[in-house]
Amino acid sequence: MAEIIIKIDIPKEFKKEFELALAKVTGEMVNRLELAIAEEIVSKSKFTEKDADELSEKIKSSMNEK
Amino acid sequence: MEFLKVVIDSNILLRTLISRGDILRLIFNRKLKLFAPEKLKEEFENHKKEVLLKSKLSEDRFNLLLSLILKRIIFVSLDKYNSFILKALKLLKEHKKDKDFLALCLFMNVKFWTYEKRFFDLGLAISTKQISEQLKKES
Repeated sequence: MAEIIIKIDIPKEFKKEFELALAKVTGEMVNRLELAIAEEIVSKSKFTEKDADELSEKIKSSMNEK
Repeated sequence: MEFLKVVIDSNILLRTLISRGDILRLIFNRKLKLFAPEKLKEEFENHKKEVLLKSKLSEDRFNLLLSLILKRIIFVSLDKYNSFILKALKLLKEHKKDKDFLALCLFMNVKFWTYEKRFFDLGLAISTKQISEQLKKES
């Protein structure tokens, strides 16, 4: 697992503001990274709209058998 | 942050696996909250091998992709929306296979993200384009 360490000097009195901002920025960064990974994987996919339609019908039929 | 909440159709979920799709980008939009019947997750898992085979992705890559996509969706158990099943069946008439999705929409009072025309006729659906436009408006 890759690990990134970033050090930022923030005055003590701004600790709370910094933590709030950090949570927001890291949340957005993780989201963007996950999207980038997903897009990279999907770019190699051979799945088609026809596959999606057929499998969706199968899945719905199975859902209704329960 | 204002969220747009929708119930996602199985067909839309599967289309995230199509290369060059806009759906994937919407799935990862943090302003969009996605819901689906728990049964969808179970059946998706049961059909995983078939999806994997058709995608021609390696199993590792496929599993990673699936975990990233599925964690964006909140799966709701039947006991939560069970009381809306009868109403859903009445609205759906012969198309009973969508009853869980519709009952969940009725329970949550949200639209159904689908391509199926009959839901648009019922005024209960929202399209990919409409979601995209609504999210743009709010950003």
